[in-house]
Amino acid sequence: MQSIVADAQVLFTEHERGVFRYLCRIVGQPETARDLTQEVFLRVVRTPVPDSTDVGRRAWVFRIARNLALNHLRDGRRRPVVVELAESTRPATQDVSAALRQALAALPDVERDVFLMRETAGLSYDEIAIACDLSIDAVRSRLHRARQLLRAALDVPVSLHRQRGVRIGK
Amino acid sequence: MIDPHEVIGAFIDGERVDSSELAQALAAPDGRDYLIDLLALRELVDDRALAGGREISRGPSPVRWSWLSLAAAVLIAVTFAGYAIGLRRGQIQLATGHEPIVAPQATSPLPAPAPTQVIRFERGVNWQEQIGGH
Repeated sequence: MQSIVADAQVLFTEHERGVFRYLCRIVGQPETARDLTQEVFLRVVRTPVPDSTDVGRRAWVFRIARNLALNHLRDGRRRPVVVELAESTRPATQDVSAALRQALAALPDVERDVFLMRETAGLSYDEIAIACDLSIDAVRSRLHRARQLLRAALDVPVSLHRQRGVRIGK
Repeated sequence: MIDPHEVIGAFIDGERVDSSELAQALAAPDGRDYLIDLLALRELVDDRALAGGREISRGPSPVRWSWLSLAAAVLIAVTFAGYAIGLRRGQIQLATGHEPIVAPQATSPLPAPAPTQVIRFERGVNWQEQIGGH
């Protein structure tokens, strides 16, 4: 039991932030994402951590997170909440934030999950493939499709962001 | 043959890609545009997460805890210092021979002051006795 808790603690320390960011983007509500993150690691504690590589363990944590998020969305047919504010009182940053949430909500589930696992949690293609039960080629192709859709949906914010300059940060 | 844009995407994701395919993909203007858009999109997603301040709340941060601890320590130190100073002053006052202030005793032998006016009541004149105590 002690080793299960110790393994879970290591996984929690390493992946809590990534799991939360991923869930936050999927459910669209930080409070709900926080609850789901706790639920993910409760499940991790209850289950013996698979004795596999770091890649496998990380993918396993995100598989749990993904299943919980999908259940959450399906249970109440909840989609990421898009907050609509009056045009005159809405700052530009909220416009972009709302547009991003809307664009993510419009993606097919798998494309959205693959994209968010990559962009919010930094999972490798190997890890995403395990977490989502896909081949690596499928991950690359789904990720490409997600990016194409988001690029089209977020044309204006992306163009504005280009003007600020870009960098390879991760 | 992989889509040239997929190669660019895999490249910025840190995946190993065929160098000639990457060169070919980046040789086209739309490939370079795509690369820049992907980087902008990545920053956009990251910016929103950070700007929204939506990270997990872990309660007060370690820095905040340290400030709270420091404030509590200062408060306790000031309280004890005040107590110690007050105690020391009292001892000095006793040692220098000042008369301590003593509260008057309840059984003081001092006489009551003389009355300035005396009112007498006589039954049936200005004092009527009634049932009920009124």
